[in-house]
Amino acid sequence: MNYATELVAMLADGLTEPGRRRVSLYLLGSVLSHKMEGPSKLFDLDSEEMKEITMTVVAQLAASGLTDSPEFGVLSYALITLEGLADYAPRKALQDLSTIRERLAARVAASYTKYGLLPEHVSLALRHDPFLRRLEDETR
Amino acid sequence: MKKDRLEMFWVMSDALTSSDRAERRRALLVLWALFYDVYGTLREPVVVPNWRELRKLGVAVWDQLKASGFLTSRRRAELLKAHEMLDMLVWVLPKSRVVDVRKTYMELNKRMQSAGVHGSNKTQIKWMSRVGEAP
Repeated sequence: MNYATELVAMLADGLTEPGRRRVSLYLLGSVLSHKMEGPSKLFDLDSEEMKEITMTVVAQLAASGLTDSPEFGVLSYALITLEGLADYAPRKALQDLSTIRERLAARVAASYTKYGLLPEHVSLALRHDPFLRRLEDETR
Repeated sequence: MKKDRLEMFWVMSDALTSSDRAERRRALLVLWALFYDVYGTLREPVVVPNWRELRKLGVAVWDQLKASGFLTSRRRAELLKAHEMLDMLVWVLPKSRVVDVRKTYMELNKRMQSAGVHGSNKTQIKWMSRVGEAP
């Protein structure tokens, strides 16, 4: 296991540890959505290990209760984290993950309506579903 | 700090000067997240940092970061992550190093501003307060 993968596994554990939940979510969102210019990949896209860890993160996210948070910031990072998994998830899970994403995006949308947030926050919830995009790309 | 976590810090610190650029970039990101994880949970009883270890690590990472080339990178994303790494080092470095690192931090700020990336005022205040403490 490379250390980036190990870091994700460690942070996934943190999602259900009192006192580490929020910081783990922030770091997972940051690491999984991280893009530096250039061709280098942070994780091996096809590794079985990464697919397994992806499903662990999804399960831990659900168990953490963070996806039901009333706070916009927490919900946004839950969405960013979930979307960050799109490249690594096993193909057979993509449809289910898309459904989970849709529900979460609806919560983010409800949250920004409530707090009267800015248009860029709106686009976060409305942008194209990366799980569906991968399904479309791979069925072409 | 758990032994395996500590080992991750040291291995990633060494990897900051790897000849493989992808490995160097991965190390920078992982190190930032590791420091942030300890920093972000400091007020909770879950993570009890060993300050002596952290100071030692901070100095090693600072030396490696200088040698890595990230502080003078022409790539915006690398500059930004190096800047965020310094944000983490601000609370972990011994006082004797703070003046030196702050100078680099201010230079990096200028470089980032000319590249159109802006740092946080809050962090600059943190640096100033630590400089005030420095001998």
